[in-house]
Amino acid sequence: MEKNKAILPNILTWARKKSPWILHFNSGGCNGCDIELLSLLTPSYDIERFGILNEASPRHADILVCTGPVTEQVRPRLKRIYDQIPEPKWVLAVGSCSCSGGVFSGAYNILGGIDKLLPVDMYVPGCPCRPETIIDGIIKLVESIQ
Amino acid sequence: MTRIVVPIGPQHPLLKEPISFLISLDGERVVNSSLRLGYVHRGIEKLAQQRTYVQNVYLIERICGICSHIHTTTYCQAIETLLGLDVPRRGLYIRTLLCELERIHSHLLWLGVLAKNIGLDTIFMYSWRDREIVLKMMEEISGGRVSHAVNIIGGVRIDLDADRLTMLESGLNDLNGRVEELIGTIERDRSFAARTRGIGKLTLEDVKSFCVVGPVARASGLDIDLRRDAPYAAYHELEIEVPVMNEGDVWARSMIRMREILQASRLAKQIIRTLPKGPVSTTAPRKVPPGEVVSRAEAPRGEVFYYLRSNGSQQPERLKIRTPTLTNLITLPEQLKDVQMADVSAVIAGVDLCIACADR
Amino acid sequence: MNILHMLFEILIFPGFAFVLFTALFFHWLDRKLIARFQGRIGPPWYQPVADLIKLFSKEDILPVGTNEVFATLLPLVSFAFVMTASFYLPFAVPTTQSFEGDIIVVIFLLSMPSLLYFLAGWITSGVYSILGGNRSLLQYFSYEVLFLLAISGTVITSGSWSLAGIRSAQLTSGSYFLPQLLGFFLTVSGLIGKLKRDPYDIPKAKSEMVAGPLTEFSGKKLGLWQLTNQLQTVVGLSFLVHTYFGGYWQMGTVGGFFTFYLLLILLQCLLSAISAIYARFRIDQLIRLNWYALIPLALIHNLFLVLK
Ligand code: SF4
Repeated sequence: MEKNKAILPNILTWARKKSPWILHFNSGGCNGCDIELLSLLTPSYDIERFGILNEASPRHADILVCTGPVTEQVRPRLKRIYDQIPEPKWVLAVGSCSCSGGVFSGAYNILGGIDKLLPVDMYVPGCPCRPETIIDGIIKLVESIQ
Repeated sequence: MTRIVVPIGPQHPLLKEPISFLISLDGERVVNSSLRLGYVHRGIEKLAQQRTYVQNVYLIERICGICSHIHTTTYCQAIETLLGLDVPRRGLYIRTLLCELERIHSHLLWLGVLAKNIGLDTIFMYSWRDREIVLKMMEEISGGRVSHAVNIIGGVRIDLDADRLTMLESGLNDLNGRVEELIGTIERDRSFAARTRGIGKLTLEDVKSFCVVGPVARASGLDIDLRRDAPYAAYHELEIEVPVMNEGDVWARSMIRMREILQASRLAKQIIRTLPKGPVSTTAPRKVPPGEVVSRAEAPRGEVFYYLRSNGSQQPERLKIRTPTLTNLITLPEQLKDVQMADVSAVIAGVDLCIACADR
Repeated sequence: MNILHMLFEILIFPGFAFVLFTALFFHWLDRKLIARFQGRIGPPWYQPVADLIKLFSKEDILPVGTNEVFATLLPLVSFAFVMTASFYLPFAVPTTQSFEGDIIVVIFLLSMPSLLYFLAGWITSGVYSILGGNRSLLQYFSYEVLFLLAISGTVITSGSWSLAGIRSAQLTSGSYFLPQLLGFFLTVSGLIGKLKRDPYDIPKAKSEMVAGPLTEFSGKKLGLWQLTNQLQTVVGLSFLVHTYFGGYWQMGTVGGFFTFYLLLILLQCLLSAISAIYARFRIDQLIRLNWYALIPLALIHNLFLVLK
């Protein structure tokens, strides 16, 4: 009985670590990080080998990947998309501008960072981030899952 | 049947960037559509007024990640004109070289997006795989994959030695073969033709009345290309042919873009062969004399237009940016009329939107 | 003893658990193959299992205005339908009694999930779900007819309406695969429609419909829907093996077992290759293709078989 109790959560964590599905949302970034994120799907990087899928609907996703400093218009949308993702969920901020505002800090229309709005679990700095860094970020985030 | 209004965006797998379409459907047929912009508006024009000319080069590069180099080119060009600066020829050539490499990268990216939208994932994978070659070349010479930070006011930051030139040459040869293969594939593929031929049609009159630019205009028979019509950088010394087609549908646009890739790689080879000797940049003063200037360049998507007014200080007084996407975007409701819902994705992809450019 | 044995047969081998794992394995195979065709590496072998466990442990939310009871029942029922179908198609070892007309039952059981899929779109309140559901119904009327017509070629030649009859007829006359190559490909085309794979994935086309009727489903329900689809794939494929490659039965138990799986894997390769090569059809193109070209072809084929 004791053993069973320990095994079940272990299996759950294992499954969660092995199949993180991401939802990509551009929260006002410049595109640079988005295309690098997309190129993760392609043969040179292929994140499917880690079990990562790029999902289309927020309801299917586990990790919300945001790129961009959160503009005023995008802000309510971002919140809503975050709410639509079923628990357990994580947020990954990709790019300097989604970590802190980056080059855009000081602009009148931006919030300056995802963490002003949502709890961020992992930051991936870089402007633009290299695909390897993004993979590294996702893997580190996944490894931190308890 | 009652009409259904389908919202596409701001978060939708079809779009990589937030923009919102409201599409009214009658069954599967689109009867009306409207679009809403501004999700990516960060206020770059205003921000540029608060920073110095030199700082702005880095900001301007972040208007759009796909055509980052063309933006800085246009911007630096504007300031160089105001300063009356004589940029060394070698600098101009290297600038042009990166413009062309960027065109290749942007068009291959576009082909992938279109293919993905019509459900042809394999072509998406192949074209993005081949795109890595260009990215590698650009990284090799500049240090950045999508943002290169190559342009500075008065020239470029990097120089090319003999090793790099041979690397570029062989990379371009490799790429040429692959792109020709890709073109052959999409030309022969019946299912690709079935999903792109005859949709998103724009006639020559439409194109003229909407002021459409870039490959979309050239696919409808309008023969415009700034590289030939109003040469900037080193283009006046290079041979350019502009591919033009008359069909005006998504198929023609993809063919135009594919030919432009080949053309761009020819240009790049020309540049490598005739690269002049000398320095790559001159020093530019920090202050810009008062005046106003217009600077234009041919981005992968069409004409980029910069207006700059200076008041003699270190910061621009006004910077106005108009990008090709904004003009091409307006044609979308026209193109979407009466197409099938399934073709909406192909039509939207066919224009090659770059929302970050349009919203700034 | 007997009861234990029966329970074992139903629940573990060659029943429930075995079929389930076969389904998961073939799902992995499919993803891996497509990845290889596209020049990628593809997921590791445990991927479908991990996905399934993860989905079952996720929070289950439904949008407001959705009928909870239906939303829960639909995936369960459609799963049950496909599972039942799998019992009529013995996986390698004959278990259930075959009876005259069971081929009709299997076809019925296999087509029910499509209808439930449509209902799933209809009960959820999202636009994409409703549109996707509509499309799946539109599509249903073309591939289902094709599938029925094409498969009846085997019935005509064998003169039997039971799976066992078709199999045993092939023991004497040889497999129908080569003599009825056209019929085989038409059946495959119908099957792709049934499974809603590329290029027939119109209802769940990612770039238009997000995920079609399943857009609003999450957690367990999504997991069940996906499992249903995976199960449907193997059941459909083994249906093909039974009807077109009935001759494998001759190989004895062990030989037959391996030949059966070899055939399944080959068929899966065919499906994956088709998915990788073609762009998605438009709904009108699909209906035109089916009603103007493929269905008449199937009719002529059948006529030819009857006259022969
Ligand atoms: S981090 Fe830099 S490259 Fe990435 S989206 Fe932001 S501004 Fe663009």
